[in-house]
Amino acid sequence: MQTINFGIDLGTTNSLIARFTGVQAEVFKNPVGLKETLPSCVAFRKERIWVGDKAREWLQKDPLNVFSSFKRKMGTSETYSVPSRQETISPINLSALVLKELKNFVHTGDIPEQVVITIPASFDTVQSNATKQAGLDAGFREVVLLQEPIAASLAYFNKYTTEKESGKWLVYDLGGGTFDVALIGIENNEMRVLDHQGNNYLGGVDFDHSLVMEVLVPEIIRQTGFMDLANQLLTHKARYEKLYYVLLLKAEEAKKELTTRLSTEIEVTFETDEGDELDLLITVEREQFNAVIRGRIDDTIDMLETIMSRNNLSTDAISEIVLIGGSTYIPYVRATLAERTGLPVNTDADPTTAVAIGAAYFAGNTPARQAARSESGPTDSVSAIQIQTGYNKTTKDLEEYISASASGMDEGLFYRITRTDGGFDTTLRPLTSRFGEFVGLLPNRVNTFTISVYDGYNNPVPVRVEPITITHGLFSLYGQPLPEDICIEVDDLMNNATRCELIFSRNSVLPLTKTIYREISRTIRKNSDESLIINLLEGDATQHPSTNKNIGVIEVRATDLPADLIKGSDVELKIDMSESRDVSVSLHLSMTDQQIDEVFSPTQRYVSLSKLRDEIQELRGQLDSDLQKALQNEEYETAAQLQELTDRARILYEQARQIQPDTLTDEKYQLDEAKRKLARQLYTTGPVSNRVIRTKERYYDLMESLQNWAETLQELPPKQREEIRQLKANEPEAMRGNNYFRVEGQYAQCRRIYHNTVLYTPTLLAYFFHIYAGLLPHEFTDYQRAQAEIKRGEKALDRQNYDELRGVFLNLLGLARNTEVIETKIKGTGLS
Amino acid sequence: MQPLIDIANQVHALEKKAQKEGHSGSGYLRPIQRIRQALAELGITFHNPEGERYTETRTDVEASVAGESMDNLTITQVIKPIVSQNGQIVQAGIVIVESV
Repeated sequence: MQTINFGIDLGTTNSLIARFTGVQAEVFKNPVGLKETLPSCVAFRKERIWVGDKAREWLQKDPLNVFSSFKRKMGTSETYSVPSRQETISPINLSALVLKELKNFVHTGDIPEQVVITIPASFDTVQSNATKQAGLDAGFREVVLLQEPIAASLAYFNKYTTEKESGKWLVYDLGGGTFDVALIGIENNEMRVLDHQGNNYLGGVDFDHSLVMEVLVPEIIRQTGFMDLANQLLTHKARYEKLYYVLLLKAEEAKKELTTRLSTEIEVTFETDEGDELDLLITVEREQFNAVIRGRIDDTIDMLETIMSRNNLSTDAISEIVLIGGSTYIPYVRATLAERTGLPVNTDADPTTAVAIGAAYFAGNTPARQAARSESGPTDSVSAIQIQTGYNKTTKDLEEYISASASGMDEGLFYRITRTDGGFDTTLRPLTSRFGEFVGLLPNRVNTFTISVYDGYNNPVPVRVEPITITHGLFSLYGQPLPEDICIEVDDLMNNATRCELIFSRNSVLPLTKTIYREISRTIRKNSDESLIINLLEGDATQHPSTNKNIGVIEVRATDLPADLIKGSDVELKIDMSESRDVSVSLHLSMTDQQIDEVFSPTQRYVSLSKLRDEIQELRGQLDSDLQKALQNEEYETAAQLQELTDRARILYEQARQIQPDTLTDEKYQLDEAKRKLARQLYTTGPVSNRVIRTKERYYDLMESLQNWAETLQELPPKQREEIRQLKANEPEAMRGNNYFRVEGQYAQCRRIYHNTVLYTPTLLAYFFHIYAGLLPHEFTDYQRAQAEIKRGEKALDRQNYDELRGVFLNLLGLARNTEVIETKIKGTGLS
Repeated sequence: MQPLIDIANQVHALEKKAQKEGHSGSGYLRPIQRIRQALAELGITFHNPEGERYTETRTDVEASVAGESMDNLTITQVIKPIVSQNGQIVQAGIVIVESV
């Protein structure tokens, strides 16, 4: 059975659309701004029609061309004159525009063709038919109406076939601008509205206005002595009119805050006619707000009681009061309702979305009479439209013109251009063979725009058009893309090495600024011989720091510290690179509150002699380790290459050691160049490339096992399964080329995941435990302890205690000779 | 998500306050900048559009238009900043615009 599934709350103030997904109802959000609600407001501005928030912006300024609350006029003969278009429009037309706009919220690609639309309990047949007509005018092929209090009740009772089999309850609906209360009952399995009462001019916006006029304005007058403020606020005198809007927005915020707090503060700044700037702080207590709304809430409860007395109902006959509408979040409303009626107040559902959700539940259980067309149904008759665009791909302006020509289209279609971040929207415009728009751009980034085409019912029409990307800020007079990455060197404590951390990536456009926060990686004692080194480098950030060019170094010696720099204390580094590539580094040490500023000019290259020596020494250590491994593996050709590099490193170190710190020659720069050349040879070519190939082989072996386990072992924990998937996804990038660090990094990740997978998968843990238990005595550093662990492990296995077995297995790993790791500590930078 | 947007709103308010009270460039802005950075690492960025030109095709702000003239509208006061999550606007700025 095909069901309707889509439900719409076509409200007086706000509208929503929701869909039943088979299990629950989902409320769609506006792709612009991601709000669930669309203000039921339409503005006709020159050639554009705005629906929703944008329309509401013009409500005060252009009231003749902006329409809201037209739901109250549904089913009347009243029409509205639109001066900007010199035409008249009916409430049905306006409602249809709101309904069409709601279709845009549906992000799933579905085109809603059948829909449930809610109507107030007070709507008569003519008004109901008018709502149905609005739905049909909006392009829905089938419209089913549902009364709002019934919809809300369904949302509360959470399903269409309600658990309630009989009884009566009240639905109290206090929204942004209207109030309704309805008595609902179930008789003979049928849920019906038995009575209702309402006020079309009572809601949250009235509370905001009252809070401004009754609390904020008197307090401002008290603090400033500006007696005529109330009158000035409501005039069109710009200064005070602006203040009124500010106060109104702040009052709305305060109202929301007072739902959870007993008091809140409002800050108000404004300039008087005399040019004095006043800065006021106003405390608003919840009690004050309650006093402001008390009279109106009493009126709503009077209406509720009228319904009860009119139907000869005592409180015993009513099971509960169900709340809907955003204003029912107000604690005073809830408390007063409970106190005055003595009835339980049900707040289980979200009062803002309850009607739409209830409509969707109902839609999900209502068969569609009209079979849905195929997805492309409404557009079958429309051949694919082709749109060619022309525009500047790069610009320095904050607006750019897009010109377009369309072919293959029918009459009566509309286009809409939106920016993908949601910050620009042309709204619907008639599609002609040639059209153009100025589009707003976000500065210093790539702006992507989409052109969509719609039919008269706001259903999408297939269109062939390339995405539009306009880059703002590139290629200015001085601006130029960076030829290489800019990075800093940080300690890699896991691998006992240092690594590059990217600051600005290659091809970023100058000028650039970035602030990063790091921690001190080891305590630097005041007056010791240690130092904190900020080493700024230029070159591939994925490579080892020693392969990159040095731009500048800030060395903070322990002798310059007023106190110890404790491990873990914060370091703030602000790096600016100007259009002419001057690099300013601002270093702030939070522990000692020291600020160090340096500017490195591209015409000067700073080389720290002590750093240079450390780096050569580190290279020697790496070469020596590689050489030993090559000899062990009888790779004599590689060993010969490594021996040559080792000899060169030794000579370099000797040269570096002999240079005097205050030398005036450029020898240290030559040595720095020679060191980088050596590092590049070590890490990117020659013997290391063989090592990269071997690492890749090991990686693929491990990865094969991991994938095999993921496919065959049901018990594999979800976390490990996800990590394996992620690792595989990163593989193409990491394994591209022979980048030593990328490949090693991927392999290290793989090993970590492999180990964790073994540790947390019982079958694998047992399997590997047996392998280690079967090692020969000489393969353990302490065979006696190993035997004890093996016995413990076997018992744990018998009891299927895998937590204990995991501990035993880790102990065995520690005792096995071939997992021993001999570490040599690097000196590093002191920055992690 | 909403708590992160709330934090962004409060940091924006703090920034404005620090600048207004003449603490720009002092230690006040450092921790504020740090919170901004931490939010950015969570994918949340925010922008104060004060002084920018306002056109009705801007859907990154919700404007209250003050004054009678509708020419050269500029954002003159920002109640809430524009908040984005991973490049997608999640809160339109709440602003006052005026003809200047």
